[in-house]
Amino acid sequence: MTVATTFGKPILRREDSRFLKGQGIFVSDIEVPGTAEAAILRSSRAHALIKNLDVSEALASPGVVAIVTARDLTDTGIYRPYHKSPPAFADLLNPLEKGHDVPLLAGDRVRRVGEPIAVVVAEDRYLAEDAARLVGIDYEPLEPVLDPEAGLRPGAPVIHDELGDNVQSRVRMSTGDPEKAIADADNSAAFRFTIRRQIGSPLGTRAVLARYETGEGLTVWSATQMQHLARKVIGGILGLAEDRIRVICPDMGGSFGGGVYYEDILIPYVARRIGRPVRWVEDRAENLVNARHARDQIHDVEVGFDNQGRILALRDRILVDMGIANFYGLVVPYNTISHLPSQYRIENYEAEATCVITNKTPNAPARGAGRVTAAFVIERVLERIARHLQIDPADVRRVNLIPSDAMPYNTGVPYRDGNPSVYDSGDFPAQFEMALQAIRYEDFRIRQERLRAEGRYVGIGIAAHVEGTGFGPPESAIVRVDGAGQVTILSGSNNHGQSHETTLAQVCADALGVDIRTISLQDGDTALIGQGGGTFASRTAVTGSMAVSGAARKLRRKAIKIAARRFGVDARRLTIADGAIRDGSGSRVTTLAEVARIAGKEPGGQPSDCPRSSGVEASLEAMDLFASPTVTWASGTHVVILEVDRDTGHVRLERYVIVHDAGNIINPAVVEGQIVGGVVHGIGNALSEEAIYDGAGNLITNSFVDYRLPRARDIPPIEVHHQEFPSLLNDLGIKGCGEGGTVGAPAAIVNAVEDALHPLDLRITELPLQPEKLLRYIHEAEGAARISRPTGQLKR
Amino acid sequence: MKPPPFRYASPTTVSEATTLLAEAEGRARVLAGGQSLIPMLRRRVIEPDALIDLRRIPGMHDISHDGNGALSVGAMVTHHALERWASDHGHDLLIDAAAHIGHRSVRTMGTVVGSLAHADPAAEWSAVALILGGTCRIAGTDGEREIGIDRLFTGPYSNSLAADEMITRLTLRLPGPASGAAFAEVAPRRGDPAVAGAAALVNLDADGVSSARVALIGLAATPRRAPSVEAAIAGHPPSERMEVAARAVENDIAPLGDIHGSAGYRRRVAPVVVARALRSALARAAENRT
Amino acid sequence: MNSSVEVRLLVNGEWKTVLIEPRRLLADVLRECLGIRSVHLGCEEGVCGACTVLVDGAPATSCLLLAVQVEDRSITTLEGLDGNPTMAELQIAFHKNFALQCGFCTPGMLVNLFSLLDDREGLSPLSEEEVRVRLDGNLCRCTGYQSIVAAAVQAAHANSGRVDP
Repeated sequence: MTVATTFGKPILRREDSRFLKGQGIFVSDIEVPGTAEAAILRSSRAHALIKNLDVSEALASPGVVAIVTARDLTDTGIYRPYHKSPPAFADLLNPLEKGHDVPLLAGDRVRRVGEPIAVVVAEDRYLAEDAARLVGIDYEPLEPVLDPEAGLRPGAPVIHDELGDNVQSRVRMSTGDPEKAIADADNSAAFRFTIRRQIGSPLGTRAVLARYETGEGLTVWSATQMQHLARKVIGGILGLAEDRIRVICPDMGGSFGGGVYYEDILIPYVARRIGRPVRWVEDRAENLVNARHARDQIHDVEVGFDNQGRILALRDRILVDMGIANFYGLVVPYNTISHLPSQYRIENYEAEATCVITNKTPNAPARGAGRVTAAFVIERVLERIARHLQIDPADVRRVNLIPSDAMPYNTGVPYRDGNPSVYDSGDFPAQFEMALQAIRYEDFRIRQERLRAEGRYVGIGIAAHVEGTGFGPPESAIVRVDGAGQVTILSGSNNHGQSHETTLAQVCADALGVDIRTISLQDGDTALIGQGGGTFASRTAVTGSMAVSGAARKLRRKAIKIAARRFGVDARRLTIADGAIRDGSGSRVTTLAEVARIAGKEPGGQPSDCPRSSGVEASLEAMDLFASPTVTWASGTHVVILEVDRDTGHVRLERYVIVHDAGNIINPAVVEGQIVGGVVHGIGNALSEEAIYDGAGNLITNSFVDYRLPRARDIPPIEVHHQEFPSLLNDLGIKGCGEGGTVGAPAAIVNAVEDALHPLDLRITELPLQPEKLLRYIHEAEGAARISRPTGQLKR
Repeated sequence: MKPPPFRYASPTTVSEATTLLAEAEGRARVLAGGQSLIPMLRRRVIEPDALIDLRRIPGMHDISHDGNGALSVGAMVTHHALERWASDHGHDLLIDAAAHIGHRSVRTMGTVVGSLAHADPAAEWSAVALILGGTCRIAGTDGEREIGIDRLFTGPYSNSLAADEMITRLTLRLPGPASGAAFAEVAPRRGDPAVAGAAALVNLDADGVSSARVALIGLAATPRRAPSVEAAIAGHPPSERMEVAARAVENDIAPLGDIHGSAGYRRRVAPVVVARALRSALARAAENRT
Repeated sequence: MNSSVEVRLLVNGEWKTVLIEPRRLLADVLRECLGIRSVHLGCEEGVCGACTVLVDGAPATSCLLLAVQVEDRSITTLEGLDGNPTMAELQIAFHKNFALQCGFCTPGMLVNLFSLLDDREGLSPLSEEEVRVRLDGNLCRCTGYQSIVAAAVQAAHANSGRVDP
């Protein structure tokens, strides 16, 4: 008998106490005696040759320990940060995928502002920064490429000679016959949408601390989401066996994207080279210039639709401004392609994405990777269709939503693991109606009429999202019970705010039959467990939980087996609850603690209790590994009400409702926290966050004054409602929930802005929509209305 | 992002401070609250030889009111201290303006006079000082002088102080009983650098607006008065002239674009902030008259 | 030019003297010289509030202060408020409301909200709006703020109902 005692309950977070006392240990808090601090000298040019690099004056600066430049990197492997798509996918779509080297430190040429040129190590960071200022660099400017269209033009400067041109990759996917369907459609329209560059921006910047000792090997503390991948990359480039490297991710101030960066390799390299522990703590300007840049896509969309607003076909040509390197292959562009049909039935669909190298920071996955742009495009298209046909935006969605009886639904679009994209469970129309009901859509329409008469511009916007979750490499877990009955989970995942110390413990408590208070979790450390995937792509609730659950269930069987032998009871009659092992009559036979003590003595102590031939190992621990056969599909419907200040372009959000399906929910409060946090991330993406480059390729939004994260005052009440359609792809029925909030929010908000200004026919095609930009749209629309020019965007 | 090295002095008299400034020959900076200075140091935008901290000079932290409408604000008076004083004494204009400056924690250390000396074209207090007849007491090695606030600003982040000079205090003429004053601002978000801001002070008599003063921030290379707006509203019943007055701001501005707002955007929202400040000032004046 | 100066600070109720270059920022001095780890550097520009401390009881961003500037003044960090009943209410409310995720911004949030609650002792109940205004000085990228605002209001309520001995 298994009694689920914690699954589904809002168990309070077990990691809170240290953070509430300010006792979290982040990389910058780790104390390793003798640590020197590094500053990284970075390119101030977007594209230039380095004619001369002179570190002599800097070396003489007080407190300098060492300065490492490209000239010194003679003993490292090559960093070729690009991964090819899995064969199953490549065979299907035959994408173009080109690789190129990325120097860890720029030698004779810099390709972006912020590219590392030298690591300056000193007794402390102040002194390191002093010395970095003294490095002399002679640049010979080269023409930079700062947007993908410029990069594709004949004669454009080629940024990586090895590529031949600036196209790093291209993938095309087609299902049905979109060309014919568009030609045959009652209506068709074409749009260009531009989603600008945005930055993941965790509150804690990255940091790396490395110590190399001949005996113990290399220890790296890093704020990375994937410790095992970091170990592999570091080992490969530094020529060290993985077993000689330990990567530890202590507490992290969030992350929201990214994996292994230059500094994760450079700092260990320098530490080994100089024989002294070295730490680098990224400052905010460095973070904004270098890490987790995302979005930055241009979409040229053509759509055919009938007179009810049903989408008959959609074609999209996507340009991705990749920056100087593609560290993640087709992850982001293909996420966009595969998520674009969203909750809608689009039988004829074709998309092509081209990743263009530019002299900017690499474009990488960040919360909502590839999906934010997908949702923006499809929801904008639906909104424009509604306006064109003069039907309510809700009704346009109703005719396009995939009906519940079509589930599981194959979109016809392969996923990037090569499997078909099959929405495994859910009820989109029910979700939609639930969201509209929660926000009282019809009542709002009445209020809107009234407020319009008063000259107030309030609007409502809807957007749906889907999210393939649980992706990626297998996750692993070990569950162990000690002789005092304390349970330890060792997980290959990586907790940087997702509450794993609570949720994975809940899963373990139920699967093993123990009180959650006896469980503790350790993760984010390669020494704990041989293999680990890490936490990204909304995967740990799925993969981490399943691994923990699997290990705990194995452990349970093992404990029962040992107890049965030891106490001569039929194993089939034994159950475990609250750490006690009981027989069929409910009387206590033994405890897990005692079984652990027995197992611990094996095989020497009492061989008869637990003979070697039993196949039971001599300790009370078990390991399991889980890889989802493919992604499991979470979904959500977002509805937002807002008011536009027509004089200034400011948007005030009034109320936000999201109905979300994360399958079975381990901890509703944690899930709500992920969703609300995600929505707010999306609010920033919608209204204020933009990475802006000047004409010379400098990122001018390089502080939190200019790169504007949403604040408490910008946030309306956000209501989360849950649907729980269990995943069909894992026994626990879980779907991920880390990114969906972000995915739908920008689309819903922009739709609501257009709705608010509806008397004006606004054509918002760009994200984000800062006040200045919105005011420009308003003025354009007012101008167009004044001269009542026929609108050009919709054909026919 | 660590500041470069510098010498540091915390003199205890004004003359000691000005002597130190003179000795540094323009390579020293006065440190008051540091809320604008330290970010520049962190980015090494400036690398002064020395910082002269005013914190130990007596009187610098004082706010005093002479009972005749003159409010004297010492060089170390923080935004929050003035905000608190304004709140205790019911001066809405000052409360309005303070609320737009950064956030509470920045206002704890940042100073009113430091903000003026920094000559940020978008600094809230400058608009306030411009309509309240603000004067700056300036000390140098040759003695003291007093200038009108309008003569302090010479361009973006540049002031008319000589290398050996510092502002020791600001004096404001607080509005009289039959007047109303208000501040309005448009910024990307509250607390962000202003794209456009306006402070307005109006006096009402039986015929309407007897006099008006309006000052603008974020709309030119320096904070400045808006004479066209003032002329358009004064001498008329307010309700009739609001639109005209707000639109008149076009003649008073020469906006420069930056990351917070383009020149075009600033131009568009200029009439909006003027109208909002005027409306609120008029409402307060009307209330004060009754 | 780089000569160090002696600076005396009253940190969490204890006088401390540090020998530092004048350019050293208060946040760095607290962290590196005095081992106070609750002070976090998030933006180094006075925007995110992760480094918020109390200077003579008022909230300030310690990333924008030189330690020499606050010589002889009282500096209070989260550590110094341990055991304070108002802080305890806030911590409990944060925990109960899931008002933290990665925990990086949490100490700065708590210190700033503490000063808000503390200032208001005996005044009318704290509104959500007042909390949101105060949080102009604190960024959180994880929670979406809703839970933090709820926690602050709840703590203020609990606090006003508490009878101090």
